Amino acid sequence: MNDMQIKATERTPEFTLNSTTGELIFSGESYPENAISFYKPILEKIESLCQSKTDLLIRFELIYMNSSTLGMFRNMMNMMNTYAQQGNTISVVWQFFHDDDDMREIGEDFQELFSSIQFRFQPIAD
Amino acid sequence: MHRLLERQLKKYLKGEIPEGLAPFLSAVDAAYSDMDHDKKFIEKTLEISLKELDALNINLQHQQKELEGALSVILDSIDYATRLQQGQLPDISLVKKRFAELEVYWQPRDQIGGDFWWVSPVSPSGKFNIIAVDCTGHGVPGAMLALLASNLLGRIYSVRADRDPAEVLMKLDELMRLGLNQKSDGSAGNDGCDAAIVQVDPNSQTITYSGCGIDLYSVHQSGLVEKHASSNISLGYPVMPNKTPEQIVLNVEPNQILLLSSDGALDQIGISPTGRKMSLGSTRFKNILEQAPLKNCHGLIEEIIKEMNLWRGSEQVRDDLMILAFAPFAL
Repeated sequence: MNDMQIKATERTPEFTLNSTTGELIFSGESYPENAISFYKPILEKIESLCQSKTDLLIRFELIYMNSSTLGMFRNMMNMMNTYAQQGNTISVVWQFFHDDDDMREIGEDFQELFSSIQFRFQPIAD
Repeated sequence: MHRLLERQLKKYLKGEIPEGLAPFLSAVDAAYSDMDHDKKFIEKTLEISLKELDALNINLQHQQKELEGALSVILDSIDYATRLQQGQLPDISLVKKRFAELEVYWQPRDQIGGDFWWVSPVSPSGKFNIIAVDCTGHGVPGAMLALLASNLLGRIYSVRADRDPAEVLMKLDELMRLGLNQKSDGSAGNDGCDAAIVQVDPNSQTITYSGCGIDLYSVHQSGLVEKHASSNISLGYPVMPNKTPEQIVLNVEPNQILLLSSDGALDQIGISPTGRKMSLGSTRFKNILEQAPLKNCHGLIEEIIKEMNLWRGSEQVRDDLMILAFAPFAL
């Protein structure tokens, strides 16, 4: 009932949230014209899960994101990092194609910034 | 009796009704009348539907005209804004003389956008700065951020013309956050920029580079290409950077070409050799520079655009594009 499911469009990713397991998945591409309007409800939902002490596992399976999306993810991780410092278990699985160094680096940059979130990197083959 | 039945009786039975057929004929007569009634009903319905369709069609045509009108107003307005934004960029014919060579490729995805470049005034010691900025977003919001950022740069350098690039980037970060009223939770906006500054010092034939999200590529005539990675910092966003950008000083040979690119070309989605969608990426970007047949500013930019379009194929351009290529020192 508290789950969320958003279908992918040309410019926005597919998003699923299972509030029972605490698993979230972003996949596809993200370059919305209005990143705040797309991501705000998602961020609010994540924050409410954090408040109810749900352990979260966020899977990023994206191949392209623009800088506004990156900014929204930075806010999201900043918020989750604060909850992780208070004892919530928050993990990120950062998936990228084995030869996509830039996508890997984006994940590594996040890992460096938000040390209370557990990062796992998942290179995938073709 | 139904007129058609009457005619048929006249034609085939000479008007005489055989005995015992009267109930049957009466049923046929009733069926004929029913059919007529149904036909009239269907005709009436069709007529009404047609009228409704006509009305709808006229309505749609009207709406389309209104939409076309609205679109044309928006496009006219953006067209006008394009001239304004182009006017905000440096006049290349004026600043070109400060370099041995300078070429700029500026192509917003939606006519106007968040990428811009800027050249600072020359300081009393002869130094000046060339700056590439990539603001969040595209189109009108991107351009509004670009306008803010370029004004801030003007303000920052008006205090002192020979400030260190890393110091200028931190100042830009601070002023942009203030200028956009950004709150730490991102509720009041979530915007900012990537930027890189190359400070050229003709006296020592060196440059000082500092970058936040925009790397510096250095192309030697030998074909050697070096990538100087930028710091992992984004400027102006609500989440404040937890460090300051690094700064490096490089000796630059005559005809060595330096290149700054917004992420538009680097991140452009295309189809990988194995058939999946993926970004061009910095490794391929560096490769393009290494393989470029002409190692001059114009040749390098042309090669990047050509190769990026090949990579892109039928994929849409995702972002604004800007590439600055310059040789700071002549022989």
